[in-house]
Amino acid sequence: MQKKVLVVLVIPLILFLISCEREFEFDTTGRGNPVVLNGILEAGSLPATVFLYHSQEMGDTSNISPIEGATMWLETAEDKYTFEYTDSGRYICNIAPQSGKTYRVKALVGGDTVWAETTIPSDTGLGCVTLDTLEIRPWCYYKMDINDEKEVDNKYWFWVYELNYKWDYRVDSLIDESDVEARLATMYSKTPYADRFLSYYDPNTLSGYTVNYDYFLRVPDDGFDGERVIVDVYHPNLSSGNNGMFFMAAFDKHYDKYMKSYLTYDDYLGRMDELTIYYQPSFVYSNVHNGTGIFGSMAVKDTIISDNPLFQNYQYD
Amino acid sequence: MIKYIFFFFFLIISFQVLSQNISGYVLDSESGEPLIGATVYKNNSEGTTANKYGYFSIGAGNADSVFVSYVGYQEYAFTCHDCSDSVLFIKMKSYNELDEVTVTSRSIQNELRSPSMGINRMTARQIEQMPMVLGESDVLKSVQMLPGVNNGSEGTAGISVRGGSPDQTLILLDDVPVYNVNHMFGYFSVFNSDAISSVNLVKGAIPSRYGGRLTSVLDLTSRDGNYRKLKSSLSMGTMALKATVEGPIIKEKASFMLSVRKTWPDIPLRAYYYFAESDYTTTYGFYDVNAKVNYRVSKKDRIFLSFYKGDDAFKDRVDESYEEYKYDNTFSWGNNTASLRWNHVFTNKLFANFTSYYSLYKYKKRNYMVSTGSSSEKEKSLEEHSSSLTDIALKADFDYMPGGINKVKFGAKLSRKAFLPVEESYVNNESARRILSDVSGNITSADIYIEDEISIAHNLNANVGLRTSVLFSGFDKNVYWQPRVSLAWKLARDVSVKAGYSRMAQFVHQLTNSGLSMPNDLWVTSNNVINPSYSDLYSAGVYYNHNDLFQVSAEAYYSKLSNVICYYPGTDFTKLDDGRNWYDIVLQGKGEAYGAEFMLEKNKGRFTGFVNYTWSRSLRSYPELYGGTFSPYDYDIPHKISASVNYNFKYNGEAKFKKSISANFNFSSGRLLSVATAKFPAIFHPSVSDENNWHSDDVYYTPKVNNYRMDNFHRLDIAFNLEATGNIKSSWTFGVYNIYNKFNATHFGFRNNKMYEVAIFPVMPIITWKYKLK
Repeated sequence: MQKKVLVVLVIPLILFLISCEREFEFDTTGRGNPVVLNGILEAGSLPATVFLYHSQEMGDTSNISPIEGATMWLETAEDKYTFEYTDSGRYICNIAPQSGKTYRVKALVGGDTVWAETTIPSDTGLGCVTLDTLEIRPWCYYKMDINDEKEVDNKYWFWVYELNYKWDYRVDSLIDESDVEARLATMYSKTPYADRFLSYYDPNTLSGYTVNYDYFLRVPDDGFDGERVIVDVYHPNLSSGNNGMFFMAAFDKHYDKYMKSYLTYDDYLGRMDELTIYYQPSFVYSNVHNGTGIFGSMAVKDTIISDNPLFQNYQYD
Repeated sequence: MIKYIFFFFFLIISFQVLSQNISGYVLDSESGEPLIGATVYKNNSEGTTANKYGYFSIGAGNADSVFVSYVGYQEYAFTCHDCSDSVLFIKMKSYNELDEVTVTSRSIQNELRSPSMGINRMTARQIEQMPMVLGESDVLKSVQMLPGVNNGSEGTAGISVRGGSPDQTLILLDDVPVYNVNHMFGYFSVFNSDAISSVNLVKGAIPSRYGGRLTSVLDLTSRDGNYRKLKSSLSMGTMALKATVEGPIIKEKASFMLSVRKTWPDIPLRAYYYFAESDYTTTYGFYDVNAKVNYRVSKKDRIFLSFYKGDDAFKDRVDESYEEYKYDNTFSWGNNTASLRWNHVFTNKLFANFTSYYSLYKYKKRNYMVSTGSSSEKEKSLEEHSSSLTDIALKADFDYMPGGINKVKFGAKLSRKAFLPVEESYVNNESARRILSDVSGNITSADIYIEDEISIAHNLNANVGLRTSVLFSGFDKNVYWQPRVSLAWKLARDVSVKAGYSRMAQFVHQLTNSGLSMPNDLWVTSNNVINPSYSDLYSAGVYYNHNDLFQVSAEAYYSKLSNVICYYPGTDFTKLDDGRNWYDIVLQGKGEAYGAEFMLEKNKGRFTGFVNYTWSRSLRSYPELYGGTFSPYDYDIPHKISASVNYNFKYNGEAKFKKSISANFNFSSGRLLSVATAKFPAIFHPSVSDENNWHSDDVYYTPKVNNYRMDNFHRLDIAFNLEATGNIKSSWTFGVYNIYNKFNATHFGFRNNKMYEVAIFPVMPIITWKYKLK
């Protein structure tokens, strides 16, 4: 509403003052089309995957152009592993990254070395997810347990999928009883430790769950160190069916900054359509040298809570 | 440490207490108002300047000849006989009838000798003569003509001094900080030029008596009002009407000044809506009121009561019968300030001013809806969104002039600031009023300062000082030491060099991200999460006077800023609608600014004016952006040229009008924008992909913050002034703003993947009429 008022306020004023407006285009030629290196390593998970692309001109509507056949390798203090190219800019390396180790990726592209590094976080702090009930039955909420490591800078992230049967809206029936789909769900929390960078105030929810997080809940350990902390999460859509797949993760510092900046940026782009005169840039974090993109890592745990055996056995790709 | 410093000052000063002084006030003979900055000197030795109340004190005894000079006034000379125990009232005659603005050699010499640097003064007359947008003379837009000062976008009144953000300049009106200086989104400043007597911009070595901001101080003093005659004036410009009344309450003892300004186009617009019985009404207007009452209780005591109130309001009403609802939306903002000051002359060596003040800035958005249908129960709702800042303070300032080599100022201040950055409430038929969000904070700060202007040798002067600020936030207490020093070395009669260093601390910040000055740019305070900002300012300059006709100066500066704040990229004030704390969406970083300023002034003769050139850079670095590397800041304007000239035509004493012509020229490097140059797909962790109905927009790659500079800005304005000389004292100004119609963009937008720019001030006429009643 505030935006609307401002727009209504500013526009007549501008018109009154005999406004002149003109469009202009920037010549971005030669201003830099960097190589893009994107990869998120997961502790203990095979294989390590990294994507390599050419970035595109702003007006380019063609498909992304992958970089094929580049020389790419992964270094640790002791070892060096080589990546193999598969398809669509995807390079894989058959190792399972270990928590606490630092990995540096390097790619030779056109004579330049594009590189970045990440230290794999530990999953020690990631506890369990349990179901509880609110005072007003049958509504439920979930408790996520963090056992924070002392003197380690941890960034915890939570998100949840709502599990449902796939539905064919054209015929208004199930596609197949065995076919399950997972959709990211919005969540509410009362935790004082959450970073409220993408949250909304909603006074009409149950039992004081007034802070709504837009798909992701970030809990940096700035307010606690080496303690056990319980993060409570309420999902309005999951309460009746109790079919949810819960993710608890620890992100390394680069991936944490990237995700926070990207989600803010994505939210900002949506609002730009409404409030065009407040053009203001937004930036997405990158730790890639001689290029752009993100090379980060995480440790993740997932838990399915459901009464339905079909959902209990759901395997996420 | 502090006790040693105070002891040191005490020791120096105590050697001089036995010397003789004369003291008094320098006043305009016609109005009785003080002449701020008048030069007072004895025989051929160096002198002193009258302070902002017109008070001076100088070491002089019986039979000493004393001279007083002031720009535009005839020099006043007298010989002192038994005047060391009394307070003198020196009444100076202006040079009005000679049609020339003059400046005396003595005041120039005093400036060259003074360790003050980076100071620019403007008088009300200079401000009035400058051609301005929409014909409205404006204090802050005149200040933008000075070297080292930039504005946010064309036509707006906000100022950036030496690469700092607008909130890093302390703006004082009669010693009261003013937090919102803009009417109409910055196209007018809140300062009515009819009510202002002097404007001082301090941006180099900042003396200890000033504190609370990082880069500069703009000190405005309002007029006292005429102590002898009742006078009034009325003026009408393209947007606003101004009326001023002033006069004695008790002749020579007490005076008042009342000045009111109001936009006028909204008045016929309201009338149109009324007679047309329109279902829709949209109006905008502002007003402000300056009032001041002064009372000379005795020769040694004066009391001042100052008051300011200004408001802007945008109203939007819809009353459509077929919709069966009536909407009434209001968006309003404004300042209220009040101060009570008491001057007391303890002895002719010790002058004191005690001030208590109140300053409030608030904005409010109110959306009211009521059903108008036939239903028995009317549906109603009221949503309010507001923000405010209240500042209350007590302070005491002392000028101690022992009469020898020292001029000491010291004082203390206790201030309490209450912030309410965001408050939202909602009420309807079904629920009582609920506060949706209430993010408030209070801080208390205490300051003490001392500074001493020391004449080390005949040609070497220094100002050494220390300001100590204590911030109480909750149960925490933090102390900030701010040393200040400046030196002036007079190399020859007409040449001096100066250098200075100042450390400044700032506890309040303004969060903004639009080039426009929005009323809901939030004022916030340092707290346990956001550290106070501080700066180290270094400056040096050389000053030359050529035959008392031209003054030339060159100053270089370097500023280092710490803990400056900005919004997290992609967020803004609209993101606080949902009740989060403002500090959830800000970053803290550091800044650097450096540059050089060159100024040529001519203040004598029919042809007066100045031209200046500024080369400057301003950089910022935030750890979360581009690995903390420095990037150009929004106010990084490498090149700026300003020229303001005025020519008074010869007046033969018989013509019906005095005529003058004035012109302003501005050039500055284009504004900066951050522009994406490439795009690429975003990546998420392996468990989130498009298949899960979660969007994955491209990332727009912006290689650096502020990587694109827009077209250079330049503009020429000309005005022709006619001032009637008969019994009816009316004056006209005719002119042209942006005479060659340069497209100077005021703001930018992004639509359909394309940037666009908007310029709202093409070539425009200037017409202003002013009527003075005797």
